[in-house]
Amino acid sequence: MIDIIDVTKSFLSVDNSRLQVLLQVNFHVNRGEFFTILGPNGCGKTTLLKIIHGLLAPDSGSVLIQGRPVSLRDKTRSFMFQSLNLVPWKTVWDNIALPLVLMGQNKSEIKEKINKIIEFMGLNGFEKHYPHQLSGGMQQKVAIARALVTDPQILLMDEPLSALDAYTREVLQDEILQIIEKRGLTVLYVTHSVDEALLLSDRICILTPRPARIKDIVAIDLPKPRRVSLKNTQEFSRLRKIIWDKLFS
Amino acid sequence: MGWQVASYFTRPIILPSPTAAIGGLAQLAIRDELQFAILTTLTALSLGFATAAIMGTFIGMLIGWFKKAHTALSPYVYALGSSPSFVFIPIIILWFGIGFEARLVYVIFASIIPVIINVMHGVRYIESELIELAKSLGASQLQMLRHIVLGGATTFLIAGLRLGLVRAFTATILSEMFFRLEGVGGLLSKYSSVFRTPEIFGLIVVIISLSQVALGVIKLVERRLLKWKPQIT
Repeated sequence: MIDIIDVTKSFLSVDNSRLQVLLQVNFHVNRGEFFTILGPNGCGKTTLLKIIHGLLAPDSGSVLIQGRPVSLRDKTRSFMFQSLNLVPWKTVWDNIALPLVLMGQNKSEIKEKINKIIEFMGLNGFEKHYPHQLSGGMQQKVAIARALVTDPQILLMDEPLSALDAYTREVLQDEILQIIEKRGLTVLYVTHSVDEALLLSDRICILTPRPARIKDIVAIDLPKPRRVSLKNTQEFSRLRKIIWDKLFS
Repeated sequence: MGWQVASYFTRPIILPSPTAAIGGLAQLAIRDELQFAILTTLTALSLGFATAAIMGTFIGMLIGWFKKAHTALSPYVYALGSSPSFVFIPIIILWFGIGFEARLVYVIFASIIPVIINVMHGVRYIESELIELAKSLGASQLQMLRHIVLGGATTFLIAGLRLGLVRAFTATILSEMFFRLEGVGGLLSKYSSVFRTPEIFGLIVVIISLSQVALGVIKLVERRLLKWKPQIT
């Protein structure tokens, strides 16, 4: 479904020298797979995800979605930002409507889709609220709703839960698991949390510190459907140690 | 109160009492002169300023958003913004005459610059995350301006409107005094030339009241446009 071929990227740093961020990254993501990119802070995970969505262009190499070069005009993907990026002057309703409005869909179509997604995410009664009036967890739900409203096949998530407290985070991990099972989404997920990666992923791709290369790709064969309680099992601890060792060796 | 007391010790031609000033205004009102003047002034002010606000927002967005436009045009905008607008009065009279159009042009010209400058800055300070969001959703340039840039510049727009309003009001009164005598400014000029001090004081009070009304309108607009902001208490 998604092919990342020889992607290399560098940035111009403040002192005008080249900062190598990604070095010949190659992998393939299958349809319906939950694929996590795990790596130390600042290693270039976000850059990689933005390249896969087409927000950044690689220096060399390419990204193919279903065999075709990636394009921002293609609406089969949704990108969820680490900072959520809800539009502060738009209500919950208008924030969720934004992708559909930009696609030029008509009002009744938009209304129907939003009602459905608001019901699905349990956001009823918050339609007229502005983002600053919501808790972190609720804002997160709005961002998820906005990402799902276009009915994408692929979801790219950049550390979407990193700003939340531990409790809300676990609740939303469960919620994300259920959404993905229900919708059969292909997910590319970026995180630096080993536990989160283990709980959610089919495969985990471990990156080295900058410049990021692929250190290893590990298949996680924990039984499905998964729930947060899985974190207390022995098998989970064993896998955690394996990933941990790979990450820090 | 102070005014009333002070007027006891001064000759009426220098400082008339408030009651005299009100009396003067009443004289004007009886002859319908005052109502007509206020209407004339408010028409030029509101039409001119509304045009300046809309055009200024539009121009400011374009200059702020497109880098080439910013490099090419912003020096001129700043140059106009830092020079007194009344130096252009002779040219405006030459091109547009001394009637309503000329006054309107002058009001727009005087008040559009602060709107443009503020919106321009607002656009340049929009959070890059929101621009990236719109890009990730495949927004066109036009959609970006409409959904992200316009909203992001609102806070600055309001500041520009406040500054612009003061200039628009000044320009309205000035043009009424120096083009053909019209409106409240025209009355002020007329009664100054014949030393009718009570009327002059009365008219000044009217002008101050009108400015307060105009500022009140801006406050309403602000409340409407910025209701999404967390209130600072």
